[in-house]
Amino acid sequence: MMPKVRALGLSRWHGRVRALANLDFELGPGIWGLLGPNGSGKTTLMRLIAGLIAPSLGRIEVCGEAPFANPRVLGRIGFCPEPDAVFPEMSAFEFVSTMAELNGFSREEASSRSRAILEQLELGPVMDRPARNYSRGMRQRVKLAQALVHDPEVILLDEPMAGVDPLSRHAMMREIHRRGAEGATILFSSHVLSEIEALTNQILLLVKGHLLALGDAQAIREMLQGYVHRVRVECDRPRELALRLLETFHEIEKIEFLDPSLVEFSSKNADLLYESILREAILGEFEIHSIVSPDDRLDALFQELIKRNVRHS
Amino acid sequence: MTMPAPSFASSIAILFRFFLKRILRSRRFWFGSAGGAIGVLALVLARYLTGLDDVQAFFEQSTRLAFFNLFVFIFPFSLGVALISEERHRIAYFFTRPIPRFAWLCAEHLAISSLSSLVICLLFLIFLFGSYFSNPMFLVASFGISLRVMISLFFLAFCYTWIPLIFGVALGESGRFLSLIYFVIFEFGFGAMPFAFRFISIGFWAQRLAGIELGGWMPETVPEVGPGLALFVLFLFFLIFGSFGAALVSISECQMDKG
Repeated sequence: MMPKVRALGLSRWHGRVRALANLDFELGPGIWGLLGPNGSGKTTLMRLIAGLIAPSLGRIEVCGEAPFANPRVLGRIGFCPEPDAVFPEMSAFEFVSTMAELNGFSREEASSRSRAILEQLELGPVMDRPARNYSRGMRQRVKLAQALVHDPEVILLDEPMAGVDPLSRHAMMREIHRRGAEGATILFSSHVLSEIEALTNQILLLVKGHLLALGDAQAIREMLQGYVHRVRVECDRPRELALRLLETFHEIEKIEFLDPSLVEFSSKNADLLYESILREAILGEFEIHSIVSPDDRLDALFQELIKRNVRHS
Repeated sequence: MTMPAPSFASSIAILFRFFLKRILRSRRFWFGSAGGAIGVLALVLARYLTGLDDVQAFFEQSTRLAFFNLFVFIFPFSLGVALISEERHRIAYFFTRPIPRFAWLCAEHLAISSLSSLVICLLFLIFLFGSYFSNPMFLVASFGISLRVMISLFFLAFCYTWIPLIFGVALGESGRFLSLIYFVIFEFGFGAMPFAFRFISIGFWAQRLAGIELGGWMPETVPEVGPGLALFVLFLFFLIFGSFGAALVSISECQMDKG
């Protein structure tokens, strides 16, 4: 299947500042998380895919064509920009239905679609009020509604959850999940890694304009072979477990007792470390309450890759 | 779902409706209109309080100073710069739709210039009837020139609206200041100069179309120009600015790389 979004040697400068450097990637249908710290180039990448700006070097393709100011491609894109900006004088319904009309729908069709998407995002009771009275969460949902009203194939969401209350977050997550399951290609950027984790395990990591990783969390973990992994064990006798493990498993880098029932082991060989812990737990009849790895969470991977990038640069 | 993109004319119509509503709901528009009405009423009051006998001279001077030098500049300028600076973070909504980018600029221009010229013409009618209701003979006699004044103001508002829009699209926030500089130098500066220097000012051509007496510095040295040529030059200015705006908005990133 042809990828919906493809970057080939994509670079972008803002004056003398290089925002993106030689990116190559392909995105197929599904939800993709775009992670990176401030200034990593996430918004620039979103704007390039949305056809708002053009590449300085290389090429970006959406549905096989360059998107910059290209109406053929733009009809297939839904873009939710990052700034908290809607039209305060207009109601959500007026705004979203105008956007739908600009996507080629008749006024009647645009109206019914707008009402439907605003209802789905739980904005039904307020959709006819001017947006100047909306909360931040409502404004974010209006922005999402205008990006989805025409059922686009490629959906670009630039930090859509920023400053959103739990109720709005839930409504937005549900809608994004649904679109992803229906086959849209969704690129979702966020600083809050738990939001990405809740939506997808397919991620792009951008740091200082470089694409550090592309793939699922597991693939990225595999990239991290050779780096120190940590496993935390909560049990009844952590010191005894540590002693047994030291005798049988010789690749332990560090043991740290975090509290009377919690010990953290560090090793470069994560798989063998897990195996050894489980074996010793069974043989020693330990009462294990939990075994977790802080490295399983995306934020740990993210921090590790950033550290790695800093070391390399 | 991908639908056929709307035509250029439909895009403009949809956006025009949208921008018209926005402007009509903005406080700026209503405060500006109320301010203009107060200014015109002050002018009418001045006519009666000073008891000016030369009705023709009062009519021409007031029209030139209040309408050609103030209102027709201030309405398109204030609405244009406000819309552009407010649009900074919202332009992405329009530029990610399957419509030509120029449709957005055309619709903004059309909404601002049509509302500006409507308000200016209404203010002019208030001035005319307020100042001369006691002199119906003058009202009848000045019907032709009043009509020409309103047509000139209409054309001038359409030309002037391009200036803050184009500067705003090209330069973002700093476009406000630079468009003001443009007005000061080219419209008010050159527009008051002697000889053919005045030809650079769009306002000069509009005043020639209206057929009112010229003000400024040594107006007798300015070459005579007929209304036909004035109309043609105004149309030319409109086309040049419009084409420049079309090219600019279609090929540039319109400050989208910032912020």
